[in-house]
Amino acid sequence: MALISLNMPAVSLKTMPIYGGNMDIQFQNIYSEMFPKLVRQAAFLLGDPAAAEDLAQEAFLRLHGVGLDTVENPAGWLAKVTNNLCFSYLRKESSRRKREEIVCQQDIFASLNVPSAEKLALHREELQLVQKALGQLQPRDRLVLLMKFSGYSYDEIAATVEINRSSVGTILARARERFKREYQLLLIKGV
Amino acid sequence: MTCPDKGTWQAYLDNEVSATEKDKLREHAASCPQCLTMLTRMSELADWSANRLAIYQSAIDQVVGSTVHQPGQRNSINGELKGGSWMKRGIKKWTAAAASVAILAGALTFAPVQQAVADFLSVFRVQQVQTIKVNPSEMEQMAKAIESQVGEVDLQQFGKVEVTKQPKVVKVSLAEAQGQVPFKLKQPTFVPANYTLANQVTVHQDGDASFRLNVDKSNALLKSLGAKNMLPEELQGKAFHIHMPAGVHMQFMLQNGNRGFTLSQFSSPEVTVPTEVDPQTLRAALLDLPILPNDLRTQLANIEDWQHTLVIPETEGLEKINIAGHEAIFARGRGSDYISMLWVDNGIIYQLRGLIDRGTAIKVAESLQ
Repeated sequence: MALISLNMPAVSLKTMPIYGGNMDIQFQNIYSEMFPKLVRQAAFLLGDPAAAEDLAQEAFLRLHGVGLDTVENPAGWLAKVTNNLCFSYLRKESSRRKREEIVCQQDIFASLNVPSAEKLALHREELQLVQKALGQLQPRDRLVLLMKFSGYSYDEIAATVEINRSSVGTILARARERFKREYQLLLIKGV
Repeated sequence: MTCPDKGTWQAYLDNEVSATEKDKLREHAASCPQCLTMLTRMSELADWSANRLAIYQSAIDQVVGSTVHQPGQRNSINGELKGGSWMKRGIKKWTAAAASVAILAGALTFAPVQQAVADFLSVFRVQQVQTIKVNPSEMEQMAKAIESQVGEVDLQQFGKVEVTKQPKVVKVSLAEAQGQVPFKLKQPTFVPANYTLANQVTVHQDGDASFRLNVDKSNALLKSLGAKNMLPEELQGKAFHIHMPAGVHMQFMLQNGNRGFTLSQFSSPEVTVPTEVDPQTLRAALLDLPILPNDLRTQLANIEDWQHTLVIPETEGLEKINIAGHEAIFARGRGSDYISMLWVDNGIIYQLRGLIDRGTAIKVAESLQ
């Protein structure tokens, strides 16, 4: 039944004011510099490059909305907004995301055919395990785990996933335990 | 000092405690074998997890690096924002906005074309668009209802999906593009001064997928959501075919090389269902779902020609207008001049979007031939 939603036509009413003709130079520069970074960041958190692009776009859309001149540190602002968007995306759509992963993203790394990916091919099985194990985590646990790995501070993590700073350590430790447990379960099941 | 909890030790390991606290903790660990063991285990776990995530991160970077266009390409005259993703993006946006509605009511939006010669399959096809009012909190409510009442929804439980033809994206001349789509491409006879059609257009070739429903499991889901009308047994194992549309984007560039506006033309997506299925029964089963807010149910039920109607959740800034006798939906970007128009003419879905004023956009749309 859910597949029927695939039929939704390939049109989007969502508007994208950011790559049009009258984008000012300053905004354009930030866009060129930050867009790929934000996509990488979001793709890492979500495990879904296509959704990552959407969210990175959304972050720019919001920057455009509030006005560049009102933001002191646009790069930091964008990173923060992207993290927040990732978190709410994971929360709101965790059930849908899981379906999609099964249908079309069984192995997002299968598309890798660049030579530098050879080494990664050796890790393919491990990659799948990591990806699937991460998919089993609650959105909050997932984000805490991945943000910590990306080098974010407890303060930044706490702000993104809306918890007390004092809970970050506990949640992080548990998230790692769950991550390892899921990974090993999948390993045993031979997935 | 009583033994600190795990969270505190984690913060200690991550250097997220104050200097005085740090000294105290270090002292405690030195005299408490239990805590020391825990610390060792925790830092081993941190290493283990970091090693796994490092592989994952570098793979993600490569996947992203190979798909995200560099900014330079993005701004070049023929550069389109990640050509291959437009369609995917559209679908994603769509499902993001309408996830619940799409899942539950998506089947309402396509219609059987009755003149099927070999009356083997019923075909659903879009002929018109209609908006329905859905407020975000209703959406969220539905999403929550699904999550809380059925736990994880795994599509594989409900059937089997097979993509038989992957849609591809190519850039070609307009003449070549015409050869690749099953309908006649229209061109505006009115193009505002300063705009010119880019010398290549983007073609999205069509794609196909099929879906075999597991009726028992789907009905179990419907039942758990409180529905009384069930899907007919005859659906068991029958294939629904989904045809993703072929289409073309034409870019009209400004003289300074920036994108002005884009005109897209897509044939209608189609779902074909086995003849044994009575679309009315399917519709009744879906409309019956108690988690649909009443407002929404009434609106959906009131769409007369539901078999040909594409349902669009109404959001802020959406407006209905008329393009050469067809109802069109007009949307303006939040706080920007970016506009988007969508209408259906003769089974073809048209979209015009870009930085262009409303009056000019309508004039362009009405001049299509």
